[in-house]
Amino acid sequence: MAKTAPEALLSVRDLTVEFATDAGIITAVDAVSFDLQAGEILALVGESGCGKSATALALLRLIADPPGRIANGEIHFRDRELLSADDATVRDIRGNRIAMIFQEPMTSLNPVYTIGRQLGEPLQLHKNLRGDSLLAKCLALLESVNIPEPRRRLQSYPHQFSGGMRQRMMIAMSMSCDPDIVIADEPTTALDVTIQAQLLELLQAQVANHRAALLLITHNLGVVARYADRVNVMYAGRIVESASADEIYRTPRHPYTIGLLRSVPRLDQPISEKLLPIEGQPPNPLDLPSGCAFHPRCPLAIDKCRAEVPALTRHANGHAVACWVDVRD
Amino acid sequence: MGKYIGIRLAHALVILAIVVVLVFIIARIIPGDAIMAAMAGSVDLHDPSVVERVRHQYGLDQSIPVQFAVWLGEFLRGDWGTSIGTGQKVLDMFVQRLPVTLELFVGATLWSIAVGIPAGILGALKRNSAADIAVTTGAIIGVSLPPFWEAIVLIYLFAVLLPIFPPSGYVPFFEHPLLNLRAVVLPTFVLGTHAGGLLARYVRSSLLEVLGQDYVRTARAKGFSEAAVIARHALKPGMIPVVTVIGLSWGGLLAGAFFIEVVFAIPGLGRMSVDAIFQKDYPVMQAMLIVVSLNVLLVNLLVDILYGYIDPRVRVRG
Ligand SMILES: Nc1ncnc2c1ncn2[C@@H]1O[C@H](COP(=O)(O)OP(=O)(O)O)[C@@H](O)[C@H]1O
Ligand SMILES: [Mg+2]
Repeated sequence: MAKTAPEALLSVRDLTVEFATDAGIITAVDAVSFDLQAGEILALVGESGCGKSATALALLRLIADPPGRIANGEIHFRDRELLSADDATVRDIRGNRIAMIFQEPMTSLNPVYTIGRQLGEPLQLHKNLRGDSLLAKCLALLESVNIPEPRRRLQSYPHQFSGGMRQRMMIAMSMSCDPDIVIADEPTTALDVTIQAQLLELLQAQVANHRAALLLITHNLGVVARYADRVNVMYAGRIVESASADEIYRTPRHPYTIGLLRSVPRLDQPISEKLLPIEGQPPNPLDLPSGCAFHPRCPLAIDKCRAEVPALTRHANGHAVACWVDVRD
Repeated sequence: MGKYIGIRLAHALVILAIVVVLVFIIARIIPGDAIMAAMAGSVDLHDPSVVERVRHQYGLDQSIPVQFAVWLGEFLRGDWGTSIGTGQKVLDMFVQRLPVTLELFVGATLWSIAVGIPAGILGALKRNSAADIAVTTGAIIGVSLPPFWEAIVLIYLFAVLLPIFPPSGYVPFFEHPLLNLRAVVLPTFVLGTHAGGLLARYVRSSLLEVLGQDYVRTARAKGFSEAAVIARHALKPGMIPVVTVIGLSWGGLLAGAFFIEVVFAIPGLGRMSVDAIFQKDYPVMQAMLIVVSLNVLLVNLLVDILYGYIDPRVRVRG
């Protein structure tokens, strides 16, 4: 993972995000590096609190400051470096070249404005659409995400939409300016399981239609099996394993990834094995264990794991893992 | 929206009915018969036949429900009785004094809004800056400044030391607009100080809360500038609790008017009420109670309607 792939649409290097809390400084994202290729679906997976949202928000410089701060790193998008770019450059990319879908459909839309007004804003801002052409485009957008009676629905307020419909609207809005990248931060977590797959399918179809890359964030490794091309597994602010989705499912190499796979039902397989939750709790971000942060929960931990942080090391097939132990032994 | 307003209106009417009944009951249970007290000087109250005649004349010998019906009928027809203090028709007294007090209320509310809302917005946007500290400190002073002290200081500064405004008195607007405005500046300022400080504080904290909401982050993720984020997504939801505060402040202005109209010798409803209380002028006090309640109910109704207008979620809940 260390060397820059020059063809990548988005290259993140050593991204570090900190939050100042009363109890001390939390390093929510710790020197994270990854690449996103054009048109690719990249999953970012890990337990709640491991730094997925902080990573996603940092990509668009949306970390709330205070308490948060991007302490270090580089984000290369096309020919720009976003962390050193001026505000106007970043604003021009937000919602336009890189769009974001948030986790909380209930609170991510403004309750006092209509769906139509909120849906049309990126188009107004970035494409200068007004009046009839804006209306026509908004209608087409709602239709494209299968919202019935789009003309009437543009007049609705968010509280008149179900959670699933709001996320559909969010998907439509994220596509409105034909972005290069869509970041979806747990887009289905807040929703009923029965519509989660439906929504992910819609999202997959939409990014394919618009030839956009997708950074799909989830805590459920089972969910991404069908959709992702590559998977990054995150633990305590670091990427601990990175590989193609196939490799991750067939030959996981980090004990944490193996634990995650055993703990979740998988959409692509019948439930043959029993689900085993990973023992123990995620570490306290204010007081991370020494060495590999996973060692207190790791069944394979050796002395070295307690002493030294393993670096993310690339092996064959672009499979990278940060672990002192070779699980194949 | 129509249904929502209908429900609010029905609530207001129910409360008004309760107030009217209470006012009637209070008037009956006040120790000492009001009419007897009023007659004490002119007739011989030791003569039972005289008492009987007077009671009959005022309908006091009839059953309570009949008395209530008669009283309510008269009140609705505009017959609010005669003031014991001035001998004037009570309704006429209200009609004369209402515009004076209303002018003070409107002036106080306008200036408290004109200062309180921008100050609160400034404080929220420049959080923890010198401007924010100035706003928060000013708001605390405004809320806690005793009005009598403020009035005395202002009269001393701007009527005695620098004679820009008259120290007291009132000229109706249509008699002499300029003199009228000069006369109401100081009392209006004192009357609105509390509300201005309160508003600045509420606007600031409400806006700060809104700025931390997820939908504001969504607006930022769309690419809006910070100014556009605030104008397009934060101000309107931030005003929801502020509307309530303006309404409550309006209701509270009357307590201030009692005092300020006396200090500045302004012939409005506040001073009339104070006079009525000192003179045990029951017909005026009774009418005042109803007018005060009506004022609060009307403002609440207006606040509810505005609420429904700003927040679409309220409309459905009804
Ligand atoms: N606004 C914040 N203030 C303080 N700590 C925060 C804040 N946002 C996130 N964190 C901390 O950063 C870490 C990563 O959070 P987050 O990125 O939201 O995790 P995830 O999305 O993977 O569940 C957590 O330990 C969380 O407590
Ligand atoms: Mg998250």
